Amino acid sequence: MRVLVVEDEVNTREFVARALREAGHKVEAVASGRDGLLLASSEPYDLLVLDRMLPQVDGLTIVRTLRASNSNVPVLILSALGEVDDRVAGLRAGSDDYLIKPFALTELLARVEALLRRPRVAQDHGEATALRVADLELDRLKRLVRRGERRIELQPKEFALLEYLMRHRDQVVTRTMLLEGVWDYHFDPKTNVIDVHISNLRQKVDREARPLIHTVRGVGYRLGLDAN
Amino acid sequence: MTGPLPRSAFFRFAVALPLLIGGLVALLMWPIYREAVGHIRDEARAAIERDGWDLEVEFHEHGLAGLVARIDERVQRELDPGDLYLLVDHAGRPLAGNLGSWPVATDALDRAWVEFRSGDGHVAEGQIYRLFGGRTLLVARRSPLASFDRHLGVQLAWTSLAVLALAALAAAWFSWRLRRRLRALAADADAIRAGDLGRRLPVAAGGDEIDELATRFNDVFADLQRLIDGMRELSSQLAHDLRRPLQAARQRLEGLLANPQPDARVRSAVETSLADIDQLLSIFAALLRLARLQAGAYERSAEPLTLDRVVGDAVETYAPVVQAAGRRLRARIGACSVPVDRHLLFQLLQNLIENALNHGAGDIEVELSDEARLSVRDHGAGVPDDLLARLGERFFRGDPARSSPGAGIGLALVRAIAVHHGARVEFAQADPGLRATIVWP
Repeated sequence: MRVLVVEDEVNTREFVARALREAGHKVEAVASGRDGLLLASSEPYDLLVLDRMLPQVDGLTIVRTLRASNSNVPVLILSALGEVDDRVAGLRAGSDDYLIKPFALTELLARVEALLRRPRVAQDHGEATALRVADLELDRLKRLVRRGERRIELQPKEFALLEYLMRHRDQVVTRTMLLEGVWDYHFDPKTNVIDVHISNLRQKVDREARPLIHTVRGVGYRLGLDAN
Repeated sequence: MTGPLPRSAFFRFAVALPLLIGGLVALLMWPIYREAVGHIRDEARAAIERDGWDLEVEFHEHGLAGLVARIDERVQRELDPGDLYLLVDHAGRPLAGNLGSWPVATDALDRAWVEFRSGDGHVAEGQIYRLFGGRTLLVARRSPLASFDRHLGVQLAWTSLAVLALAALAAAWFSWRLRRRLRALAADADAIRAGDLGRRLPVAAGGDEIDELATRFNDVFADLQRLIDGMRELSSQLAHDLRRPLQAARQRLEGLLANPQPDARVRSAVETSLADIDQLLSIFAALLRLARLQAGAYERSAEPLTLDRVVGDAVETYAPVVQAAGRRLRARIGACSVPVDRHLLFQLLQNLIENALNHGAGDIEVELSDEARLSVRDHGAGVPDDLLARLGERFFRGDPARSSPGAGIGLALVRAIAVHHGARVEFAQADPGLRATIVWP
């Protein structure tokens, strides 16, 4: 996949570019917002990774300009501004994800994968009402979950977690992604909130069956048939 | 400004001003009235005296017959229907005149002034003349004062009423305008306080005292905006400057982990350092948020939620966590639709519940009453009475030995978030345990 990284700080730029290359992507990296906007509007990229505060043209302006010209390339914003309103402003400008600096490499990679695998069509319209992974089925409308023949009763949060994991099947999902995707609240728990909920979910879904929810050490979780 | 009418200064003004003006008019009119009455009385008396003098001269020159004839002539000519005469002999028998009987006391002295009511009910004033031979003459005039009083009284009453009405109208109009202007100013000030910091009070070109006051207030608002903008700028800058080196440190540490086969001890040290950095960041983020909240520089969330929804979500989120720790989270959530900033309130609940989980013991109870009283309590040892009041101060910790890093910020954030929502926090002994209550007014 072709990825453009726009970041003025040289260490971070190289760090991100190298990491994405190692993950198997074709990466171009530039330092200024103007170069970034120029490249992004002339070349077909699969993903843009933009720093929010850039010289000349800042990250949000790049996103707005691209969206105004009908480009729907996925955009991940990197920013040192971490308050709720900063995040909201970033997403409102048209970016698809917002990652606060400093970030863990694994967090960046997980989000990049999620964005690259996301269907290009606007999600909420083209989304299937039923999700299926192996013999695990989830009906979003009827709010039903089934594992084989067994009906599974889930709490609302567990249901939302499972839905998120199934929509990102075979992808690594970090705890922060789960927090942002499942909870409508911007919060940073000091306790193992996610792990407890996942553990409960796991007991219900993976009981007496081949495990589908896997822990990815130091990163988060993955739902899929294979452990890796 | 929005209180009931009688409490409004303008209403009091609108009532007091006409009353005051009415009083002033009365004070001004009274001497004039007195002067006029005195003048009219003098005139009337002078006319009576002249008439009496003529008749006395007639009596002296032509005797009783002449006097009677002159009185009859005057009565018949009826020069003025108000002229009254009566001449009686020593026994009080009428000799001449148009009065049927002696209307006043008979022992009046010569030249005495008397007042009486004539047959047709009018008030009359007259003078008594004792004549030779025990005869007494009364020369009187129907008093012009009564009709003067009647006419002038009506006139004065109307004038006073008009003055009062005009004064009341003027006062009401003036008060209404002033009240409207001040209300508009108050509404603008409320809007500014509610976060519309760029807004200013309107100042008319005229520049009266209210405009002058509005200008002063605008200066204050401008200072406030500068401070808050400065605070936002500073916290953004601080966030940026602090996150940058931490990002670099993180990258270097992660680079170490990426080495083919790092030593196990190195790996563990690096992982601990990474965790430390993240911890540092989360404390830093909480501090920044606290500072912004306390400075009033926190942007209001665009999508408020009702209090009961947020409490419900927090309980649903934390119940399994508490259960995993071998304890229980019990909740009673009433219907309470106070709108709140969802992120901030969730953070408040998170801090209170995590505090109860990490520093308390036993079951945790979350209660939300219909009247917007939110409380979280545990069943642990609680906090000594002398320290209760200090909970919620920045960096204050109930138990320095046991508390985790950053715990001092958690409760301070709780307090700042409550204040941000116009609520207050009370920490109290629940025997056993600590109870934190957030009370909306």
